[in-house]
Order: sequence, then C-alpha cells, then structure tokens
Amino acid sequence: MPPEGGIRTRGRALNASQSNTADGNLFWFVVPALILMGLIFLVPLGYVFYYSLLVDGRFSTDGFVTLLTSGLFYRVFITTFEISFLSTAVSVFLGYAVALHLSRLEPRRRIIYMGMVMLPFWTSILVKSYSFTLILGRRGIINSVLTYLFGDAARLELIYNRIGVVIGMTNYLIPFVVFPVLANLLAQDRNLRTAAEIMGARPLRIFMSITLPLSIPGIVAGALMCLVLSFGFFITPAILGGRRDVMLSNLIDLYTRETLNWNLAAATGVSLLLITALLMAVLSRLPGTRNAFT
Amino acid sequence: MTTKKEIGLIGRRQFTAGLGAAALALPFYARSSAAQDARILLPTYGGSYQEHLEEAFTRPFTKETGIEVVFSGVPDLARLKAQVASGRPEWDVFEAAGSWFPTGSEEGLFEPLDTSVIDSEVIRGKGDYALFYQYIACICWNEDFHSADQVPRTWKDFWDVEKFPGRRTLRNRADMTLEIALVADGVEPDKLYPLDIDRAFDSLERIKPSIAKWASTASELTTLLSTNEVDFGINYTGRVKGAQASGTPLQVALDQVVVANDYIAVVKGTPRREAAMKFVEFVLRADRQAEFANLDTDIPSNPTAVGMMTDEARGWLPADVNSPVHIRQDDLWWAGRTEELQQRFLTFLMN
Repeated sequence: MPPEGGIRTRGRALNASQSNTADGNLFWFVVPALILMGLIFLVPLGYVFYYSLLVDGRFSTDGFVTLLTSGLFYRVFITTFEISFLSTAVSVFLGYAVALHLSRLEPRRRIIYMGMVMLPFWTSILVKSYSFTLILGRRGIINSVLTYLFGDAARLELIYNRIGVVIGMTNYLIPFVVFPVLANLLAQDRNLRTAAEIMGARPLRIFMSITLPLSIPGIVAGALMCLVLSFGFFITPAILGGRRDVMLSNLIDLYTRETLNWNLAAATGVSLLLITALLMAVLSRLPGTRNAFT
Repeated sequence: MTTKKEIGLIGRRQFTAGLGAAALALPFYARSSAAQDARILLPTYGGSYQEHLEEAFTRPFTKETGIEVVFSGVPDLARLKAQVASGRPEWDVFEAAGSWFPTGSEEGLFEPLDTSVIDSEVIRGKGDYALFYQYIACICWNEDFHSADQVPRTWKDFWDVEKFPGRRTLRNRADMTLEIALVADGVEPDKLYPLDIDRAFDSLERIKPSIAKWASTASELTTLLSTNEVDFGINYTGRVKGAQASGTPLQVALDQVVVANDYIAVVKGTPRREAAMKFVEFVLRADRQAEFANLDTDIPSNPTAVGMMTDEARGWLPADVNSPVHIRQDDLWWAGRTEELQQRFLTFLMN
C-alpha cells in the first residue's frame, strides 16, 4: 500500500527534523522492516514497471499508447473512480457517526463496540459478498419483509447494480474510517466543548464549530485509506455489481490471467498507481488536511 | 573425548556460520529429493471436482505406479507462465478448460506428448496437449419456480422473452456466449465458425435487457438459480448434479447444449517429466475415463469409455452428443482472439 508507506515516511521525516539524534539511534531498528519491504514490495513493483515498458522483449511505450487510445480503458477508469468516490463518501458519513458514538462511550463498552466494528474484518470478502446476495436479493431478507408487508411492488433492486456495489464496499471500508476518526475524537480537548457549553452553545453548534473542524485530519486520513483500497477492489463489484460495474482490477485480471498480455496488465497497473499517487498528493495538500499525516 | 572437546570449541560465530550453510544447502537438498519422480504436482479447482479426480485418477495411479499425486493451487495460466519462465515449475501437470491450452501451446508452456503411449486421436495443438474430457453447458432452471413445460429448451427459446418471460443469466465472458447468441439468432450450430462477430453482438443486444446478472464465476450461476434471482440461465451439468445432491431442485434441458473442452498437458521443463507423462497416459485410459464420467457428468475423450458409463451417468448427456443441434466449442478459433473479443464484450456490457 503505497500511500500508507508515504504517510509513514512523511511522519518520520517530520520527526527527524525535530529530533535528529534520537531518530538517528532508532534508525537501525527500522532496517529489517525496510529490507523486507524492499524485497516483497519494491522489487515486484520494479518488475511491474519493467513489464509495462516491455513489448515482445523490446523497450516500447506501446502498452500505454494502447491504453490511452482505448475507449474501454477510459470507461472502466471513470467507473472505478465513480465507485471509489461514492463508496468512500458513504463510508466516511457512516463511519463518522459510529466513531462519534464510540468516542462518547465509557472505555469498557467502547472496547466491546470496537470489536463489533472489527468483526467484518475477520470474514473472507468472498463469503461476505455472497452473504450480501442472501440479504439484498429478490428473495433476500429485506425484500421478503417488504413484499410481505406491502406486496410485490415494494420490492427493491438492491443487488446486481451500483447500490449493491456500494453496500458491499462500504461494509468493508467502514473500519478504515472509524479508527482514524475515533483516535482523533478521543484526542480532542474536552475543555473546548465544556467551554463552548458554558458560553451557551447548543450541541449542534458545538459539533459544527468545534468537533467537526478539529476532526478533519482524521476524516481525511480515513477517506484517503478508503479511496486507495477502493481503487483496487475486485471481487465485491464482480459479485454484487451490474454489467456496468467493471473495475480496473477486472481489466488487469483479464490481461494477466486470460490473455497473458502482461505488458498491458502492467501498463494498466502502473497507470492506476501513478494516478492514485497524484490524487493522494493533491488531496493531502488541501488546506486544513496537513495534520492528517502527523 | 576429542569429540567433546571439539564441540566445546565450536564458538558462537562458527555455529552461526554452520547454520547459515545448512540453510543455504536446504533448497538443494529439497530439490534433489523431489527430482526422484516420487510425486507430481498439479493444480485443481477443489471441491467435489477434486474428489472425483482423486477417486478416478490419482488414487488408482498412486496404487499402480507408487507415484504420489499432490494437488496444489488453482489452475491459472499466468502462474503457469511465470513458473515456466522461472525455469523451475512447481506444477508438473496442468489441467483446465478452454482456450488457455491453444494460448499456452503458442507460448511454449507444455512438453510435447509421448505419442508412443498416448492415443494421437486426443492429442491437440503442436502435439503438446490432449483432450481430457468434454463438459456440457446448458439451459437450467429451478423446479421450485418453474415446471419443465414452461421453460426455454433451445437457445432460440432462451432469447424469446415474450414466450418465456423471466429474468435470465449468462456468463460475463465472450467465449461460448457469442456462440450461443449466434445460434439463438438462427445460425446452424455446425456452421458457426468463423464466428460472425457483429451478428453475435447484435443478437446479444436483444437479450441484454433480460439478463439480470452476467455471472463472473461458474458458482454464481447455481446461486442465482437457487435463490430465484433469475428464472432461467446457463449452467454446467456438473454443477447442477452437485446442486441436486445438496437438495436444490435444479433441472436442465439437454435439447441443445454447448459441448466444451477440458485439456491436460505436461508442464514445460518439469524435472518429473516421465512421471507426468505416465499420469497423462493413465488418465486417458478408457476405464479411468469412464469412472470419472460416471462421477462428474462429462463426455470422456476416449470413445471406448462412453460405452462403459453407467445409465445414470449417460442420463446427464444429450441422447445424441454428436447431433448437429449442439454447439461444439472451438478453442483453437478463440486462441489469439480472446483479448480483442473480451474487450469488445466488456464495452458492450458497459454501454
């Protein structure tokens, strides 16, 4: 996960400028991790870049030219971004509410509730996606209740379309919002809220003027994580989506496994990586988000 | 006494060096023992399919030759290509369905088959892979929701949404789907190739509004039909048999089926080439093929085996498999065209 690495490096760089000596001593503790990351992450990544510029054993940018002139690539690219941004927005909205609730609980109860947030994490994404077909389907739990109460006309199309994709992906992404936002909310100084209360502010005003603005770094950190994960989504859109919900990962899968065109697969992967990196660079420099990475 | 002294003399550094040397030597040790043809590896799809392979092929093979057969991973042409490129393939035998084999043959991923032990009738490509068996895709429905007299039985019927209203499913891949679309549009199944691609996509355009889900995996088909997400859909007889065994009343129409191919090959550069070749010869024997077909509802590639199948197993085959009403998948035609046509297919789906 490149952005995570990026976040860490930036954090480290900032610390280093603050306390050079302490960091210098600690550097050697990071070396094994760096070597491991280099071997299992950078080397394969280097191969992907290499393959993206290798056509029939020769250096060539044909792979990228093919992609940029392909209507399909463009369509899939737009779809990937639409799905990713939509899922991220829904996840941030719902995840924030959960985090806010968790932050107001007494610590012992919070632990239990955090476990429940983590629960979807421990289930295979394939199993979860299939489970959703049983919940959201035409004869699933939701539609059975609706048609029992209101007749056949009340049946909702919750699956094999964009709604199904967003539900499935949000279910996976929410923990990635809850934890950074929760950490932020718990770190906020209670005295600020107390002071506002004493000055006569109502809860909504306190939230809008103090809690929410202060939590923006947490929101941005969670949202970026969601976005990056979404760009690589694969199984959930394939199982819960409709015919239009084709992701870039599905294209990469086609070129890698079905047609053995590793040049095009690598070129697609590199394009996705570069665009993601660019997007992260832009988003992380938006005003008010600077503290998201420290 | 000297030994004791020596042990005592081994310092920490020497010990570490020894450990390092042992670690370095380990892969060579593992390699030399594996090279003894004592066991071969092949990938498989797992589940009941793997059980059928074990019962009909691998266990009897081990009993006859003493060579152990180990299943490892899922068939994947990209992984195979990477293994062959590394010069030390993990798999010795490769077995899977469809146009992977012409493609793999082009890429040089398979060893030439030994024609002295393998019947040339089943050998395909550059003589480097063999037809293992043929499997059947057909129209399927759920008896809980439809009785047998209200369902489409041919692909033309399947396209007739007025006579047979209902939601449908097809696979989200071009191969097989284009063939079906052409036959639904009136092309004779025995005059399909070369496929009239434009006509196939025009035909698909007509059925598109009735396809509730273009299934990305084979197992989705059974789920969609079991839960009545769709009324009718394509499915594979092997999967339907499995669903019936677990109590889901799926039924199939064998009036007009698609006969598709599954192949087997020996992986290029395997150090256990001889054992792998023996295994390929073994699985193509008539008695083994018949036993497998009895378990898995397939058409054996060895014609002698068809006569040795049980009546129950033959019930899963169309009355006349060779009848011109059935679609016979031509993987050779697809090799080299998959990328272009699958991209066009995805574009069609997204429009």
